[in-house]
Amino acid sequence: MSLPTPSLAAFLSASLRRQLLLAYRRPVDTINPLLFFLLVVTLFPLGIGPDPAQLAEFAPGILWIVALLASLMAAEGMFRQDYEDGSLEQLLLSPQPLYLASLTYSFAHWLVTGVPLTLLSPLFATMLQLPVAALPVLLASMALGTAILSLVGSIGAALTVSLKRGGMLISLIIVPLYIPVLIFAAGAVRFAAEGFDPAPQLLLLAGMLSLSVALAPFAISAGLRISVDAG
Amino acid sequence: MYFESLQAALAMDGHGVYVWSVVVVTVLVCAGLLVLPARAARRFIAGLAEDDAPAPQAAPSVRIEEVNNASGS
Amino acid sequence: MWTWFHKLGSPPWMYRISGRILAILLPLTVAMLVVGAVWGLLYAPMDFKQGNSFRIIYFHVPASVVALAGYYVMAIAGAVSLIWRMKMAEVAMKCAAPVGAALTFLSLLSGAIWGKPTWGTYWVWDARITSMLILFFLYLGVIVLYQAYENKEAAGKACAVLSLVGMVNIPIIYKSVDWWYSLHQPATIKFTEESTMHSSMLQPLLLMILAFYCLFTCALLLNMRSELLRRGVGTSWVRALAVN
Repeated sequence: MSLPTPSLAAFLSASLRRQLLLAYRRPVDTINPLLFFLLVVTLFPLGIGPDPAQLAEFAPGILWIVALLASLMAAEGMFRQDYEDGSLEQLLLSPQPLYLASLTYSFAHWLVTGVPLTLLSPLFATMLQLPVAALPVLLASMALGTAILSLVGSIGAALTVSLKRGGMLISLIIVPLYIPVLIFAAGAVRFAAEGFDPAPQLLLLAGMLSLSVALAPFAISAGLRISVDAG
Repeated sequence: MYFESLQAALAMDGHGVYVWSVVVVTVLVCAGLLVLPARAARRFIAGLAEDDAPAPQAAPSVRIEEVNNASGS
Repeated sequence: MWTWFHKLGSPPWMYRISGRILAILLPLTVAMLVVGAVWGLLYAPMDFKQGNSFRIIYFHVPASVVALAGYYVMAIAGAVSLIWRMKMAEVAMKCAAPVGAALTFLSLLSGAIWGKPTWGTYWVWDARITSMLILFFLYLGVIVLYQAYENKEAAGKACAVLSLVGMVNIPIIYKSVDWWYSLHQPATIKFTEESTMHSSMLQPLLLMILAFYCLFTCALLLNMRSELLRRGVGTSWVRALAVN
């Protein structure tokens, strides 16, 4: 190798910058999940009726189910382009630790989908009549929860990237693993809306996030190796 | 025996339909779990014995077995 | 000591030894299933609260217990196949998935049928039923992922990774569903009869659980034998089987 190996920090920041630049160049991929979020939030009052009290009761569940689906939608294409143009293979051959490289993929995915979803969620929550008092908890649960969704979603994306019909498959693989996030995050928002202390659920989410930061990159790296070997 | 007659055992005070349908489903699932793979293996050996052995001829029969098993599992 | 481990990895040895195990275990399993079912259905006393519909427990609980244990068997086999690159473990993992899924399905179906006389409806979003449904999805995910890969070597590895991820998640999923259910608990009777069960009811249940474990083992071995044959096409030991 003629070029000197870059330092780890330089490698990771370059890798992250590259992900974000790619996302910036293809804004449709970023905006689509958000539009999807808005569309489905609009569908719910039309489906279940405009009664504010009823909407407020369902709001935590609706918001979280839609956020989950939006994140799932975005997860599918996460490695697709890098797999097809061969840069994933380059990454596997590079001497840099794959564990951290996979983490940057998930982190970039979270920055591009999780953060916008989190920032827009108060708007949608207001549309669904969620009490204002619950908004801080909604923001916190979204920030923590979407990060877990990104990490877990990366596992599914890594395992299915080499497959032609990955789209349906990734939902079947990943949705069961999303369930604890849905339960605790929607539970936290519901608790906050009803005036209970949501701290236990938020702490549980934080614990699940730590666990997935620690373990998910192993599964993602293994998945990427398998996919590149298979293709 | 807990029940006084066969009739009572079949009826189970009105719950017989539920209990006995679970029994039927269980028998079906257990039989399926044991019979299907055993039959697949037996057919496979029979298929091999038929076109006794040169590898190129064995290949098509293998593919059929794979299709059968994919739909069976 | 390691010769044993190496033998375990050899398809002809496994095929032969599994045939010998099945010759004993299979009749034993069928006998236990029949005895346990007859005992539970016709001889065990009736539960005074639920009436005779409680006899479904003799099929529902063993199926649920073994379905969950089966996932761990599958995931541990997957881990062994990843760590020691052991082909036999991969075969075991691949073959455990449909068996576990079938038992999960049996558990769900019998639970739904049990629900009708107990709760008055076929489906209740009870914590245990919901967890079983999620377990069913986890099994289906592994099966479908294996089928989706053309390259079967990659399929085995991918499924091993997925089943390990699932194994880490199962306790979290079960706990979260428990919490969710306690939060939304409807005003129905909570059944805790396992703890208060009379021994005359418990004994046939234990026999049935043991029988279902044996059933799982038999079905797994039978599946593995047919898979070994398919993978061993063209090898001398499979050809020798065909000649006999």
